[in-house]
Amino acid sequence: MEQAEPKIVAFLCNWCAYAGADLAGVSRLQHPSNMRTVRVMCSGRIDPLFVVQALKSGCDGVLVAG
Amino acid sequence: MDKCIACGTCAEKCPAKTADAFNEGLAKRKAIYVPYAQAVPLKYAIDKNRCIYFQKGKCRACEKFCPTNAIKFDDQEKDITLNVGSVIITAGFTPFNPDKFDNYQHAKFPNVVTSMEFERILSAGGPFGGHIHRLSDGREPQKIAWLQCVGSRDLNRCDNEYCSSVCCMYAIKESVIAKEHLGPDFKPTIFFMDMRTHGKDFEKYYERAKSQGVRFIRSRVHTITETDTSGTLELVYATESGERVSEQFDMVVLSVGMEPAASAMEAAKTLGIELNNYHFVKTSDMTPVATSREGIFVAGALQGPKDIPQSVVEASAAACSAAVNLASARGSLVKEKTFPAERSVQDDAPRIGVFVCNCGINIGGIADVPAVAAYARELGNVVFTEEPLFACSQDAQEKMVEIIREQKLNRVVVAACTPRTHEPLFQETIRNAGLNPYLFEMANIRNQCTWVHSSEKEKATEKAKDLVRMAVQRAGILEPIPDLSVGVNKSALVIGGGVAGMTAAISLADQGFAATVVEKSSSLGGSARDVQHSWRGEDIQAHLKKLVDRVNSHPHITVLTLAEIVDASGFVGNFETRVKVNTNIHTIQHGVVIVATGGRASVTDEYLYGKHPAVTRWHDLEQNPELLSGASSVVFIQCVGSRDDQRPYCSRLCCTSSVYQAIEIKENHPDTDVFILYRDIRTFGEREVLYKKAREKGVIFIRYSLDKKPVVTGSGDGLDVRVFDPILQKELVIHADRVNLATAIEPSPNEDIAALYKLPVNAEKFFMEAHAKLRPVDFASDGLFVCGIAHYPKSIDESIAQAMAAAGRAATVLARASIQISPLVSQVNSDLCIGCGLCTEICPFGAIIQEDADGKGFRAKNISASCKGCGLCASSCPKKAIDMLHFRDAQILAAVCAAV
Amino acid sequence: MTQKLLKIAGIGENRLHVAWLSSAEAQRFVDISTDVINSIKAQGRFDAAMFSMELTAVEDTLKTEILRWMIGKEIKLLSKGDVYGRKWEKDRFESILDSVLEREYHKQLIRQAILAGFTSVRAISQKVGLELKRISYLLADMEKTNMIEFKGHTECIPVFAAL
Repeated sequence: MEQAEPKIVAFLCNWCAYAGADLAGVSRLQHPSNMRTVRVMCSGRIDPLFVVQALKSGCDGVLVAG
Repeated sequence: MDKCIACGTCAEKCPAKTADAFNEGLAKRKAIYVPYAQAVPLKYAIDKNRCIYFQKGKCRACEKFCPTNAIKFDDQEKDITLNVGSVIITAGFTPFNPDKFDNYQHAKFPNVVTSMEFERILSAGGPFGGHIHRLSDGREPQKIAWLQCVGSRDLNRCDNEYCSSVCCMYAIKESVIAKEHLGPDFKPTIFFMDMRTHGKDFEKYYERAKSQGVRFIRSRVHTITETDTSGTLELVYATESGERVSEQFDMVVLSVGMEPAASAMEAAKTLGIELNNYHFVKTSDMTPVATSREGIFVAGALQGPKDIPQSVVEASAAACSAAVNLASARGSLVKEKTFPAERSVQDDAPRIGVFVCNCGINIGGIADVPAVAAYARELGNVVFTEEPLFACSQDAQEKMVEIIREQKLNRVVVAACTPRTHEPLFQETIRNAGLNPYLFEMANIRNQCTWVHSSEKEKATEKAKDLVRMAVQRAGILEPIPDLSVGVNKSALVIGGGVAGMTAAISLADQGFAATVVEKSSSLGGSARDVQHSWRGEDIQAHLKKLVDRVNSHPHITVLTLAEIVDASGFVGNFETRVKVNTNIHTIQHGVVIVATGGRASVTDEYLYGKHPAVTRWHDLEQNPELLSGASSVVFIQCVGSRDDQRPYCSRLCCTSSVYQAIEIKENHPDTDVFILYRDIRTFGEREVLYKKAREKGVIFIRYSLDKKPVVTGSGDGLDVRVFDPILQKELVIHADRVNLATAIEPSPNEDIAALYKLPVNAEKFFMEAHAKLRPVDFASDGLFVCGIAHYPKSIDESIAQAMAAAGRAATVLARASIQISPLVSQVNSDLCIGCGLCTEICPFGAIIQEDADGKGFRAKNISASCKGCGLCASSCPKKAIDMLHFRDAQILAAVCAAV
Repeated sequence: MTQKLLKIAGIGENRLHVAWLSSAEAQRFVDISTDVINSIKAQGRFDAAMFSMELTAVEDTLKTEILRWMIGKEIKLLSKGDVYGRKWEKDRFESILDSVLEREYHKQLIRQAILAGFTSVRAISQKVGLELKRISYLLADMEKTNMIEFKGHTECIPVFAAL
């Protein structure tokens, strides 16, 4: 079933962006729910091929944050 | 305490509000609160003085709403008796309170704030979410003035005589960040007396701030008034040439200094340790963290004003000192935890159990937890689901162990809070059930889902399902990873036999660890041999002699002089270094490396140095007092080769050294005229007292700027020094019998050491620590440490503290029989590898080498002990021959593909 | 680099966002994710099926050794210099990277077109929208590096096959 809301895969570094996202939770900072997080130990782990794979499997956008 | 899960419901329901001290009173908090978001432990506490129940006997709202019954109104203060062998006091400082003095107008004008208040205003987690606005009318400021030395370097108003060391740098930082927030039209101005950016790489930051449009005005503002009802402020100040200027600003930030906290002074009194004139804990330059009472050590700003890196250094040094005292008792109170034998799962099909946590109402109140669990039950390989109220609670953990056993689960997914805080707990739980800890995966459906999508319940449920699906897909192909540990050779190699190197060696040897000191010259002592006195006036030569004697006679220390390191290999716990002494090669096995290669005063060709016999540098005059006999005029020139294009850093100790020497000359020959030509006098901290004393003794200070450097010419037997005086606005000619140059301190040649151990150096060739603030003696690679001038120019007390810190950090490695290392490392498939070497080149930790594979050329090889698991190699490998354990391509892609 | 490729491929560079933040910057994370979500919403849903040939070509391009080497060597080239000790200017590196990206991507795209049964220069051109001259030039290059082979003529038109 086609969903109206786009989905975005977010590759987040465990030490920086993922921690920032956690803290956003602790602070209850509301934001749209389109992100689907994949945790990695460092943004250096993110092979550009992962980005292509994400797009291939049908997500609408990708965020890489470290 | 144990029951609180920091869900925050209590604070949400609490009706009592009060000023939030963490936000400098700029925001409100509830009577039940956590001091700040990152507090450890993250547990809510009741402020008795604000709580309605405690004050009026009614309310108990928190108790009613707490989902875990964690509120305990009858909790009592307890006296705890600890039996300890050593005490370290780190009670810190309190910022100067400017309200006592009406000239700062802090209490009266809303737009005059302290730097601490401004720090909170700037913070994204602060009261205004990082949005800078005026407290009077909420308008965005266009012009902000920072006033330096508020409560520092001033005796007129019973402020503090000393310099607080950190305010120049934090003011620049605040102005730069404010500019980032407010954009190109924002105009920051810093009013200062001397710009003291003496820390490592601080001078470059200062220069960058100037180029980014931060205006620096050398003046002390004397009057602050409000010009209108909106709260705009007018500052009146005099320029250097004496012109009176009044200028309007939207806000004023007072750069307040540091004072010892009253409570800290009280604690010091209880401990019976001596304080100095300024109520900081008294120490000696040769034992910088030892208090007057044996066994009690001090670290941080309670010992004197200082910045973060120096505080961290002292903290490690104090820990080292305590460890030396307690060496015989090391490990005697340690209890080891045991786990059941691990069940093999390699050959079994995945049987995944999914635990969807309600977290009270934190998750369950927003997402439809039963629906998420039911959804999970339908996913492939999932054989069991449950919806605990609190998955992390003791009883739920015990039940989880039982379920794993009964259901023969071989993979576990917990959908709950964040793996950053709870993954280790659940990993331990599944270990207790006989599973390898890496057969575990978390779905973050609280912090990154229900907490941040609380108004969109359906979407939160959908997202939670997606996150669980991603976790389950990934879990299905997770593999058990064995623990990784390496043995430790309990000895150290110390490179450099100066004060830093010798102090580090003794600090380790006194704990029972062997140390080899490698010195390239023929004798121990390093650059300290040239210096007579520390800035507090202590005898360096006497200390040095004691140090050399101790090193030479210590049973655990081996000294190699005229030694050169020719080869090095290995990793934390297991290094091998080859040292050449004459024609012999010594091969040394050691567990850690301490780099203390030191520095030296550079040679210059400026100001007739080397061309005229009356031009000397640094300690030449001190060492050859006869040079001063009959001299009627001595000129010191500062910043010779420092703070210029070639060496864009401050050499940190020259101002204090020249001022100290100037005082000595004045004391011994009161009739001699002494001039110090300087750019900024950087007698930071309590060294400021020397500057004051020199002026009182009649030493004449004349400022020059880089574009108008002094000119020295020969004149008969003596010298003529021409310098432009910015206060008199004219050129002066000083006839000098001696000109002494404070030439830049540069690191000793260290390229070979840097290359052999793969250690980074900065642009000026000082070794680069792992983190400028928080890890000032560690290198990024494990088992390697730095101290002394090799790291940055520093005075002897700072070098000794850093050497002890390096030893303290090194002992954390040497004290163990083996080191557990994270097994989440890279793995090379040598069939695919073509030995191109790209991974070796890009690895930031030197954790991949190229090894000669018999007949096949070179192949990459991972050194697990050095690998930090960042995965840069895996994502760069042209042949995709490298994969990361636990974060394999396939495991990441499983989650990616399941996202949609 | 991946953004540049997505742009060349017509997928749009803004399908990928890259950001840096620290662990304490919760508000920044929220701002970034909101911006990214809004940007993606504005671009509309992404139709992976429509771009399947382009995506595969992007993927294959990213796998090429030349690109992985260039990216891996970037810092060294800019800060320490190449084997001759010459330091590269950032602009020069970027412009070379741009041309390599475009060339490698076009080659992979042509390969995909051939695999999809478009075996003559004209047919490839119609499929991928590149000029005939550019395709002929790249085909010669691809033949040399064993990406494709020349299969002979069909009615006087040269035909190629992917290897």
